[in-house]
Amino acid sequence: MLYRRHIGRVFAVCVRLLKDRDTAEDISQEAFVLAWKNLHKFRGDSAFGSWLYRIATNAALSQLRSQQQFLESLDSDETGALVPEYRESHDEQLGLETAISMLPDGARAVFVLFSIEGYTHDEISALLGVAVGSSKAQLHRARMLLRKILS
Amino acid sequence: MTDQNDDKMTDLELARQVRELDLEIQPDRDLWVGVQRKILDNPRKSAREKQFWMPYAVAASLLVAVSALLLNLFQLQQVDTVEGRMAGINQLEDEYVKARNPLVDEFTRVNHSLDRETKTELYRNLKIMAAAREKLEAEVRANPENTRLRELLIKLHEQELALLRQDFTRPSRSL
Repeated sequence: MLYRRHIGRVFAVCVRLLKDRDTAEDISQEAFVLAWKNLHKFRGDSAFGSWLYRIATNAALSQLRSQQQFLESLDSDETGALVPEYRESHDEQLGLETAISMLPDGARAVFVLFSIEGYTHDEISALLGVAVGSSKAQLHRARMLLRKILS
Repeated sequence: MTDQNDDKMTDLELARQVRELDLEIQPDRDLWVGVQRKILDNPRKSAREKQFWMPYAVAASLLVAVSALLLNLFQLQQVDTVEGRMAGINQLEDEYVKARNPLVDEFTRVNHSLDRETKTELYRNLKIMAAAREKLEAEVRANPENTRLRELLIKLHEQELALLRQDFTRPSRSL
């Protein structure tokens, strides 16, 4: 069953991009419904999974874009404020998944898309509507913050 | 080890941890029920359903295109025909004027010696013929497709030119 085979990857990309599990569940459902509605557009020149994950990614990014703080986050290159605030309230060693969820929206989106989902900066630039340089800068920012959080 | 080396080590460690991340995360609840409900609420239109009108649209487009083409061709043909006929009328009149002008001079010279009354009668008849010609020319221009009118005009031209060629000073000539 297609749902059983793909829900794990679909939900993973949604929850990593959106951070909130409830919203990620809604968007995952929406991705499957969108895929069903647009099944006639699937040409079979890529794997069905890849096509479905792209739909899920677009749906999640669309949800992110509707949030003003996400748009502001894409323009920001601040790297210092987050970590001390977080470190003060967390004494235990953090996992990467949690650390990713602590990233600012823009940096998190680029990190998830580039480092986990395997998109190129050109593709991310098109998906997010930002310059390739901004995508690279956000990735650098994400890595720097993650190193600080995890160290 | 410097801070830069520490950072580099952490960067490599970060990359290792990213590689070890699970590609799949399962949601807390079964989402299929919601997916199914949404699909049933918004049934997908199949590609066939969406495109069933395509052949009709293509046929309609072709019909419009062919009709437009035929109409244009017909209009072009009409323009060509009308323009061709008008050009023919112009040519006919040009040839008539070219033939008439030297004959008028010759007619005046040859018949100069006629008596005043005869000349008056002669020019009155020529004037009537000229007026008739002008009316007929106007009719031919107004009805370029009417071949009968054109034939009459040609006949009138010939009669007028024949009259202008005559020498009325010789005996047994009368109007």
